[in-house]
Amino acid sequence: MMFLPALNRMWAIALRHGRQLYTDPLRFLNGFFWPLLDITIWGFNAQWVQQQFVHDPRIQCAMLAALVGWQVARRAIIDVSFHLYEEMSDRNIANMFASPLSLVEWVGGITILSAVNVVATLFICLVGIKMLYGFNLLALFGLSLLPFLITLFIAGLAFGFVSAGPLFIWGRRVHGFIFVLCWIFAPFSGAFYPITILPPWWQLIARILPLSYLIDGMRFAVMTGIMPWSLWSIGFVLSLFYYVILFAVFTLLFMHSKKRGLDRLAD
Amino acid sequence: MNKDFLSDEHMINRALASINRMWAVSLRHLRQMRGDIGRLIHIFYWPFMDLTVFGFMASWVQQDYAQDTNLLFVILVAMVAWEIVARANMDVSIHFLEDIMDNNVVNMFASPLSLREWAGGILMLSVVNVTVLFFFCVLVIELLYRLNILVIGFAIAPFLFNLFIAGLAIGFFATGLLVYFGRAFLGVMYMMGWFFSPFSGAFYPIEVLPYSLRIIAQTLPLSYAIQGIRLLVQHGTISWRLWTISLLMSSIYLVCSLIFFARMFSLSKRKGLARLSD
Repeated sequence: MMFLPALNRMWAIALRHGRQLYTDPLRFLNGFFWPLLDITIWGFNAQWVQQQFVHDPRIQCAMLAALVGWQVARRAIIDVSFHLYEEMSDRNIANMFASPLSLVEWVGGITILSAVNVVATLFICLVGIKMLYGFNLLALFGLSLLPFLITLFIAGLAFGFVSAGPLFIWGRRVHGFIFVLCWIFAPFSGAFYPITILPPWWQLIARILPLSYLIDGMRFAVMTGIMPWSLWSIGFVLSLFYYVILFAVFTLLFMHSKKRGLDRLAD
Repeated sequence: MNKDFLSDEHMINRALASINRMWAVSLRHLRQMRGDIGRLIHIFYWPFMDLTVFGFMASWVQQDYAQDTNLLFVILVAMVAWEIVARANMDVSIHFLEDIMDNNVVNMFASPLSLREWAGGILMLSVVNVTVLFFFCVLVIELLYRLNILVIGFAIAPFLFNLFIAGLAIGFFATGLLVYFGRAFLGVMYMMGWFFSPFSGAFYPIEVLPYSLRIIAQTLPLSYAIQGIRLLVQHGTISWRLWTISLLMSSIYLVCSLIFFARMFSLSKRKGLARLSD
């Protein structure tokens, strides 16, 4: 039973951040305000576009489904980087890694926490969509979109390492980059429009990222009712590829940073 | 009473000293902005991101479904209008927050600087920032979509002015809460402006909202001003009625939120301004 203590430590990390996240009213508010805002702005926008210009009743549904896909990825990206920032600003990072906790276990703990957060975000999105626009995405598509959402979660964690990277190099001072590096993927994610509208260079970037395949797949599934498994497999393979590569880079940055002293990151 | 105290020369000197202090407040923040990537990101990155995601969305809809409309142009202009509101709002609250973070609030208000002068200084700063932001947006739209929004001409300026005032009103309201609750309010401060965005009519005309939400939108000056801009862009007519309504409402809201800010400030001062930085 070698792995039980490791699981225990992962759970401890999830709990340490989860307690803070779900008991502090301001943090909690932060967790559901932004997804709900996106649902409101983009949903009414889609409704207007549908009524005035498109006259296709599926378009609002497709735009909202794509947006929900982005919310999953966004939540995972922010969870990885923001909680790393919190360890730094609480001056906890040196203590934490002086304990038997390894970086893999920390990431594991954050993954558990983020999975809970993503489910909560999905719930908020679904309730928001039901209340504002009167349709239930869960009833319409059931769990058929779940493979896409899970893969988006993996991709989100992978890009979370990108968003957290600068923190390991420059410390908590650069916390502004967390959100900047999270949103830098948004124009290429295809969450707000199909990527074919982008200029050629932008499209190229979008095509090497997994998000566009997955979110395009979700939009396709909503518009046609057919599951585009080919898009999903490309997205899945790319997500795993990026996860492995970016996690390796993240670990290297951590080791490099540890050699220079983790405590300096808290300044 | 000393007659000399009320002489013209004395009054002018006092006014000049006051303007000097306002300028100092602007300069303190402007200087800090230079070379600080975090602050530059706030001014340029987020508007750029908004213009990108909304603009490409609009160009997708226009290209695939509505080729004979100017949907893209309308959405982009409304976005620029919203960016001005957001900028004016953030300029007020983020600079106060900066002083809190720098442990500077106590020092600042222990000096001869009055609250009114601080607000004046921030106003000057915000005018500079909003102007820079506007031309930055024009440039981004030109580069990404090959559209020139300056073709609307100066007729848009009165509406943007109202939106600027409305943005300041939101900003001073948020800062009123910030000055009382301190750093803990930071998260809500960022939400404050966006809380009004679904009701602003910048992302869609407010007619699309359900009745209960439309009522809220109608109590805000943003929706009138942005509706005016939409009319201007779509039909080329300036609706002075919408302009007057939004100007009146913005001014009333600004006065109210300034009073609120001053009240909260004096309440907070009594409790001690140093506690804000904890």
